[in-house]
Amino acid sequence: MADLILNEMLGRSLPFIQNVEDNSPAAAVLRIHAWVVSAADSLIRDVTDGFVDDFEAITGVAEATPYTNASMDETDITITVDDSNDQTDVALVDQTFTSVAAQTAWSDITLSYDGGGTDTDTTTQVMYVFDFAVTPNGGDITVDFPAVSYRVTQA
Amino acid sequence: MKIHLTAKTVRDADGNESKIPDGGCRITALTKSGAQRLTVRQIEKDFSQFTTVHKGGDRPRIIFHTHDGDVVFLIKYMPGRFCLTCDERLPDFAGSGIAEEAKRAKLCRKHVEDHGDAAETSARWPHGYRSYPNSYDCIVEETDLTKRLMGAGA
Repeated sequence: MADLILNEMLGRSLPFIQNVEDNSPAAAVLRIHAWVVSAADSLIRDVTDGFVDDFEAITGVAEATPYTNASMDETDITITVDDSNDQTDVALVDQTFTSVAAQTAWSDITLSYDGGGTDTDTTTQVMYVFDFAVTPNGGDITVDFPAVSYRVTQA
Repeated sequence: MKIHLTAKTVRDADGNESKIPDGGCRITALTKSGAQRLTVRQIEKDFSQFTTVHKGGDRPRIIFHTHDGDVVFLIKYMPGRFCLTCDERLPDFAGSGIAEEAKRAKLCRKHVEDHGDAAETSARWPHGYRSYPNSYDCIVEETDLTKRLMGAGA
């Protein structure tokens, strides 16, 4: 499965990321979830009710042994406004899950917006799904986000 | 942090205007606390033309040379793994791959275990060590400029 964004989040993800960068609402964060089963790109893109619990139910993907403690706040985000190319790029600091016990291979990582700052799967909105094939074996797993994470350009 | 890669307008021989990078930048917002993580890739590539890095000495720092003046990020933690209890940088060795990562993690856990009952953990770092292998953990140096920028985005 290719890296992709939910259709419903097109044009909405940058303002959500900006909320986290501005810390407004207070304690807004981005959350990372790991998944062990993939679903078809077309199915994932069309998810309209993308809260983490619903995402799992709609797509049939299965969450890995929960590692929802990995979250990103405003200190992990750099928003770069490129005035010569008329675009805005977002860079996210790599995130590490430490000493992940041996378990079923991971297939994907989702990046979600949690406006309330609480790790509640019914309010955490899935935005992006990344290919992430790794088999945990007790070591650290580092999620390396693309150099130019999200590019919102003018037509 | 919000940063603008600034541009200048140039005209070709026919009078057509276009924008090109002027090689500089302007920081328009910092976090309210002044804390900021910067990736190795950002410093060595994306922002390399307007940053200076001082890794040694008693004041390691990353300096952004902006159009409004220098913005200095003091480096609290270099890229790597650090014990939550004693703040010591944890052992590392060359080599990549999941087998090497398993060995590194084992060394880190052993260090934490040696603290016994005093070992500290957190919800984010349940195994007692923090790991940012590709990032600098920084805090901005307070100046009149940075005080204006801290929380400016909110």
